Amino acid sequence: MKGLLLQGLDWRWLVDQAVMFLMPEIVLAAFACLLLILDVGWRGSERRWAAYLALGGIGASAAVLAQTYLTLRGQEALGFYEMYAVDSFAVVFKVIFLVTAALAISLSIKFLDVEREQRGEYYALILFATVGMMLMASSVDLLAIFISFELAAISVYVLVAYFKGDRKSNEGALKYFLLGIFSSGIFLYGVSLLYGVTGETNLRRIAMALAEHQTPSFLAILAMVFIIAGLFFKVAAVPFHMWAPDAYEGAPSSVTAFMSVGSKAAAFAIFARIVIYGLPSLRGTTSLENLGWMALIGAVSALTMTWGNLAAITQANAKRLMAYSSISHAGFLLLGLVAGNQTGYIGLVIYLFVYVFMNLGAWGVIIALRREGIAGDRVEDFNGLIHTSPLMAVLMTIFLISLAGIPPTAGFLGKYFLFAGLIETGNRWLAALAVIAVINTAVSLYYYARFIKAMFMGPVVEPTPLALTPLMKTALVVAAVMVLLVGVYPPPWVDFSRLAAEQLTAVAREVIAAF
Amino acid sequence: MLELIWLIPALPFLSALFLGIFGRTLKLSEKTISWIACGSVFLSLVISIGAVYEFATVYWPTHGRPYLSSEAGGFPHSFTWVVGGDARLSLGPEAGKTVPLRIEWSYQLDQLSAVMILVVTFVGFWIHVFSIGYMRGDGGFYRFFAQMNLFMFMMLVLVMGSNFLMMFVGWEGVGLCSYLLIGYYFHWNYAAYASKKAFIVNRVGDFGFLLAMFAVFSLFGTLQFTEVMELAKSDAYLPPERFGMWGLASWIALGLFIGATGKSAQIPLYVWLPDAMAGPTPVSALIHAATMVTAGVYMVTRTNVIFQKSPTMMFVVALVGVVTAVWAASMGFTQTDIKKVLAYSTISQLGYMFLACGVGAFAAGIFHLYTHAFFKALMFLGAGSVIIALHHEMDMRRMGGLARFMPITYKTFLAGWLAICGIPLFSGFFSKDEILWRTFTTDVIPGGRWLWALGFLGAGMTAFYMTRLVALTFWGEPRFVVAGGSGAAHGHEGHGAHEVRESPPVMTIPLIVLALGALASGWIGWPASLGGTNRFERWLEPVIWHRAQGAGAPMSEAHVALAEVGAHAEAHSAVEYVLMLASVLLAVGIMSWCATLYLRRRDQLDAIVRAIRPLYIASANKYWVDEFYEGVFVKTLTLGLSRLSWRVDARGVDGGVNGSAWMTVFWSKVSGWFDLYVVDFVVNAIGAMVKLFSTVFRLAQTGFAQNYALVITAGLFLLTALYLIISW
Amino acid sequence: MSPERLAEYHLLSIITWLPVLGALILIFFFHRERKQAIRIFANVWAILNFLPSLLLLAYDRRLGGIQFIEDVEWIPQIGARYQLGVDGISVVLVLLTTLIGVIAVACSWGFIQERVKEYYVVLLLLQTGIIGVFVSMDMFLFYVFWEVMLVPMYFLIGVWGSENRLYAAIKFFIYTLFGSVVMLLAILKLYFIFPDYLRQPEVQQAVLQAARFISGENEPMYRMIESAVQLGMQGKGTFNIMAMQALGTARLDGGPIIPLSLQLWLFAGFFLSFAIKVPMFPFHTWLPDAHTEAPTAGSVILAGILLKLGTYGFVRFNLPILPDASRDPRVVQVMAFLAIMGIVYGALVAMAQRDWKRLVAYSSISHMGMIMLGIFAFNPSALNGAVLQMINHGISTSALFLIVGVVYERHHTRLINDYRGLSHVMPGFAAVFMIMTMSSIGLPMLNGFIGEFLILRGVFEENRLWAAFAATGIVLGAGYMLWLYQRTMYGEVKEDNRHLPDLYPREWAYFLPLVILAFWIGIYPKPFLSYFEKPVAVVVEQVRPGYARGLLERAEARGTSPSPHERSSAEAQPATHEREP
Repeated sequence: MKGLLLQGLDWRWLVDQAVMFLMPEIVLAAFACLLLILDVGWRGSERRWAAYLALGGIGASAAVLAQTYLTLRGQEALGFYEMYAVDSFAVVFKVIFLVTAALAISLSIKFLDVEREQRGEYYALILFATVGMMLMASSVDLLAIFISFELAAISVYVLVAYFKGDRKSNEGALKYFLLGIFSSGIFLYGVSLLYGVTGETNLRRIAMALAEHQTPSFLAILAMVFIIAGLFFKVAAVPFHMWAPDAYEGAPSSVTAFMSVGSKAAAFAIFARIVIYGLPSLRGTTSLENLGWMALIGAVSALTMTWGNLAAITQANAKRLMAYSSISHAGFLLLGLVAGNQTGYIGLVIYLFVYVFMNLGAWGVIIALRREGIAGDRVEDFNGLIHTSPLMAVLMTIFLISLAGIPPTAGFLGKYFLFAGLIETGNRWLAALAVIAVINTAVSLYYYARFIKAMFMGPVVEPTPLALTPLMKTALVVAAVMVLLVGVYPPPWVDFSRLAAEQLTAVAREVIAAF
Repeated sequence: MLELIWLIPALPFLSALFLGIFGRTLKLSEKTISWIACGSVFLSLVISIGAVYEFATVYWPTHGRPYLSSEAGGFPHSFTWVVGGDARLSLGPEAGKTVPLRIEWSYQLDQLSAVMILVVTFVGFWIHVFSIGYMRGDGGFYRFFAQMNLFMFMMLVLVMGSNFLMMFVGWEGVGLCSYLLIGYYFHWNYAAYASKKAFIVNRVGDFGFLLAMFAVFSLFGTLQFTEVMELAKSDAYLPPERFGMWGLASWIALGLFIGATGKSAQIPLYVWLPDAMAGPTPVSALIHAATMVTAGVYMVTRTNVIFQKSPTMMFVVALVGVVTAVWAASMGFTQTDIKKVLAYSTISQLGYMFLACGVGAFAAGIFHLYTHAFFKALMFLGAGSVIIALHHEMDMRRMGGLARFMPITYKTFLAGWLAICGIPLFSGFFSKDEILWRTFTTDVIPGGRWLWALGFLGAGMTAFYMTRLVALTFWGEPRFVVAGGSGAAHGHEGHGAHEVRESPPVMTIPLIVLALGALASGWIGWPASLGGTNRFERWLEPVIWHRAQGAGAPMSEAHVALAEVGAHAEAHSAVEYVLMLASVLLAVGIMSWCATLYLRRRDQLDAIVRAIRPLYIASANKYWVDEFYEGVFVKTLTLGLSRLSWRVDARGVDGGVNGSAWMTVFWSKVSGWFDLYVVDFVVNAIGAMVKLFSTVFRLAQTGFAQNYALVITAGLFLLTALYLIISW
Repeated sequence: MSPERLAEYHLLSIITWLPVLGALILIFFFHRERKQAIRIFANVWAILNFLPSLLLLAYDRRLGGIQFIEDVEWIPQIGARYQLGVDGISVVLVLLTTLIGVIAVACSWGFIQERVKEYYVVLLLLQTGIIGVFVSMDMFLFYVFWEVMLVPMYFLIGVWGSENRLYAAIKFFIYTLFGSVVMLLAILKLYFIFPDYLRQPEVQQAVLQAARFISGENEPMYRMIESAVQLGMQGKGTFNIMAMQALGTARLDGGPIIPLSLQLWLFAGFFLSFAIKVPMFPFHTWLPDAHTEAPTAGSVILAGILLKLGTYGFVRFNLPILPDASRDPRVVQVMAFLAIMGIVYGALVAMAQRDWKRLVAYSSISHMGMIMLGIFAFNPSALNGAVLQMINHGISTSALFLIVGVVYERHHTRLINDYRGLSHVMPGFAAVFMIMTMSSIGLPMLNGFIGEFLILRGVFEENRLWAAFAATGIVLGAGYMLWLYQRTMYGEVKEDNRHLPDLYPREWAYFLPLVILAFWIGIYPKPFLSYFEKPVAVVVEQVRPGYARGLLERAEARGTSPSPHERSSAEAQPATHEREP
């Protein structure tokens, strides 16, 4: 600890280029603080400036990120005693987070107006959460992971409780908070066990340490189970999913949109980091003699997909429905880790990438339905949308079809890679898992089609203007265009996500090579 | 002329096409329509005569084989109709060999089809002429003639087609036309029903035909009659069978014969023909007496080689034929509808033709077909003339004494009557006695004498019910009331309520012509025993195979035939005279007896009827066969099964689908509900317990949250436990 | 112009994407209220789409194989390419599609009154989806089109259908989607095993030989397969259908390259998808609902084209790619059983229907059963018959649905009992209905007969019992169709039917082509058969090596591969003479 401090005080530290890796986060954080300060002076409609400022911050941070990436030219850069890595995996995820934040903010403005909750801290919190997520993406050390995760998590807890007056919002927030803390505790316990076993917190060294003895010690297993259980909670996988429907339903729609994408992506980022960087030797196989986290995650993913879909089918509340749908999507995403080959990893990343657009898009339309006097969170509220606002109806259809994974939308591409990864292994158990997955795809169509049915075939309601701003419209159209573009012309996006995937495969390979 | 034969069917077809498409739109006058319709048939008649003449005088002597339109090559004489890639033979010696499946659309003119086209075009033409008068003023005049012409086309294709598939085209085509024409008065439900019945019953027959055709192809690798028959003669392809054996030949023959029973209204598929009388009378005359219904006989004769390979099937054919003859005649006794009587007599006469085929006297069968075409068409037209005169009265009980009102119709009808009863010099006499004689002396199948006995009986019955018909219709006192009309009452303008009078020339001339035919058409087959030379049979020799010799020394067919005939002539002439005399006496006797019964001694008649009342009722109700079929095959079997499977489909199969959907939704409810409540409940319970110990939790008392937490802990330890259990 | 030349003009792409272009124009340049303009545009555009497809008739029947090939890189990372191409089978099916497309658009003129714009947009999108399935030579692309198609169909049924439309729509959507997602896994498996096998040199040889056989002298096709094989040798996967066929056809010392057990699994994967689409008994229950509830145009497209996708899939995937599984006796028996069940059962159920449209729907289950039986007889005549029957069914059943549409448009009920004696008031209609009835029950000189004859003859060659059972379908077919005709057309005209007008010129306009085609195929089918006779022969040779040994010998003897024309000109005449005494 002392060494670290001295090191910290060392003047050379200031020019340590590690700081440069942090620049995007620093910029973003700076903007967030600036925002908090300025917000004090803003009154009434001026408050909107907070939003635009936040967008500006995201833009700036993105620019810096790009610059960083270009200087790195793809090779991995470790800093802060190898706690912090800027590699293509991290960069890809940071892009995802920034896009998420940008979309979420542009969807929020009008919504907060409608709710009369237009305040600067909202955007500041989103920025802080984003910073946390970006840090998560880069952390390769359990401590760093934990800290950055808490940064993100706490900001989101507050966001969920953002509507102070709304009881549901508070209830959801409290549940989310308590259970979050609880799972963090579990996670931390796992971490400490792991530290006890290996004496390391750095993922790679942990991997090395674990790789030394062939049959993993009982404690190591226990640690693995605890850590993965904590991660299951973060990604809302069955049976650790109960918080999600309540939290998603309770939280302000815009926040739900943000967390259902951003937090999930971040969680998957560290999930991938931990299991692939840190616990490769505990991967195990599908044979009963040698079970590991692969089997565990596989089973949980099957359970999650199925349970999420089943529960979603009969939900009357749109937000709750979408919550369950995102649970089942978490199940699909886990497949990428189960497959454990590059195809699977590409699937994981590209799925998260397109999930940003399709899910935020869908949530955007739900938000747009929130009007004076209309809650807009029941499936019936979509009735006859094609008449009141054809554009929204068409966009929503695109998002839903993509969520259901029907070509030529991006959702299909993501599913394609996930399934392909499983089939590529040639393992019959994983093939069976794939069958479960595709069947779930077909089933999921059922509840997405409920929206379509309501919009196009439902009874016509008297047209009330939607809460739409040009910015929001643009955001949604952009999202839709992306969904279609990625689906129709995938090559660049596949390459993009392959950056991250190759990173993972490379590491996995090198760890395997080590022992 | 020969290369024009493709025009023989083509002309009526074109006329049908023209009338069918423009008949209504151009509002053609009846005159025009008549000219076009009859003209086209007349041209075909002329061409047929020319072609047959050339075939007989030039082609046959020089080439010594059937004329095929494909010899002229290329369209329109013929063209490759169906191509189906390669096919593999699956039966017979060449099984496994691949041959290209290619079926020509080509016509064949040989002795058999020559007879058929002459009959069809000649009789057909005169019936067309008759129809002009019969259908006058009918709303669907154009439709009627279009369909009649279409029928002529199909019938001619049937008899001229050079391969099984062409024959099948005509076969189904005439079925279609008969369907359309029976249902001509389609507003009349009975007609609609009858037409459907006819078509479907025929389809049942076609089923057999189709399979037999496939078998033929799989065996010989071709469907061309010329080739098939040549190959069929060789024992390698079609091993000959002894009586009682059942082999390939029998199977094929059976299939073909099923088709024949359907088309030619034999047991068990005869039921459609009586109902077919719902059509206009000329239709009955053309389709259901003269031409279409005889297609079965034509087909059996055409494929006689295959049949002769299987004595078993020959016997079946003969038996079915003769039994049908008697069975139908017995129903003819009691019918009161004039056309129904004629219908049953048709069935019965067809039975004779099959009897002939069955005993190997194919020529005789065709001969009877040919004479029957004249006298039966004649009688139908006569009936039609009567019906028109009485404004569509068909019930003989409301006729009588028409002889003096309609002399021509009467006289011509008499000719037909005498012919069918087999009075010497009339055509029927020659053909029927030929059949009975051949049956008696057959060496192809056993039991010839028994069959003869039945046939003889049938002849007697024929004489009776035909006489009854004549008596009820033309003799005795008029029983008709002249009024609007009944039965198939489709209002005839121009017919008011006036006294019955003879039909116009356009109807009587055909009657006269056909009457001459009924009288003289038989002379061509004047038997050797009566000092004639059975020209007809000789003409057909090349078509008909003589198995006995066919297997033996390679003599030329014609010689064989002559020897055969000669042998018969000497060996059996004595028998033949006896049989002839017997049947003539029988006919005359029964005719006179029946006449007296119906004209003078009604009391006796009633007495007889009373004596055999049950039989009488049974016959009057057609032995309830229709009801039986309707009940068993249609209602129970088909419709019953249909309803059953519909229920299965709606409840079972689809039920399964919806069931699974329902289950999904159900589980969805369950899981949603589970997430909402059960967990809470269980965990609240745990929570309550925990509360006792824990103070920490009491301080932070926050609704569900800690319960969820507990669930997570539980799940966690579950996972761990599970893992440990499995891995250690 | 030669196919290569036309391919340079991207003929297939044009045919495929024109509808989408039309849809976009409708969306952006037409106001939704200008219904008449929209209708006119849609009709014109449908015809515009039909005309270029006629150029496909330039398909070189002598050469056979895949032609009009277009090949562009699409997703290099996974080796998915934008590969289009058609063989004789797909040529006729594409033509059918574009023709039916015109008719479907035309028949909606009066029937669709609300949301006209969306309607035609959906219709055009559907068109593209279907054509795409027929022309794509890349399994990935195939799958994309295969699923894309479902969405517009769902809207078509769900928005413009009748009372029970929502149920029917979602049922159709989920049921068919369920089938196709399983197919995706089968496709992926093929994709991954391809390079695995291609690593072995002897396999490479065998596959290239098979490719040579499949493509005959069709060099472009051979190059296409070769390049795919090259990829495989480099360990990259390919989605090229023809390459997969080569893999399936190739033989390694007599045995298959893909082991039978795996083939069976893959077969099951494809089977589920295609069998649901066909639909085969017992996967058929979505069809009556969908057909009955859909608007006329929807039913016409469903019956006319969509069902053919299933049978096409069997001919394109199961038979050539998985020949050993396809001809595995167990499989064949199951398929034959299901097919025959479909024929008889479909006919029986049809007979029990009170709903005119539903009756026609069940009748097409029966007909599709006949086609399936023909496909699984594995001989040229049956397979030719099956393909021809696809066209015939497309013609006659579409026409029958149009006929229901005509009366429904006038009287707004589909119940058979609500109609009687229509022949009096609608003679023209009665004539068309009669012709189509006869064509559907396979009367000679109409299209249905040729197909059924070829199928049944081929089936008889394999198994007489099957043929006998299948032939009963002909009797039953006559039963329910004529009964329907009798109940609706004959008898005294019903009071409330008196006012029904006969066919309008517009309706004649779209019935006439169908009637003409029905007669043309019935009287002179050779032109149609000649298009797919060679491809079919190849398929048979793939699934059943050495069936048409004669064909191959003749090919070697002539040094060229045989073409129907040479054969016919060579042997048509002798066929009638050679056995003269």
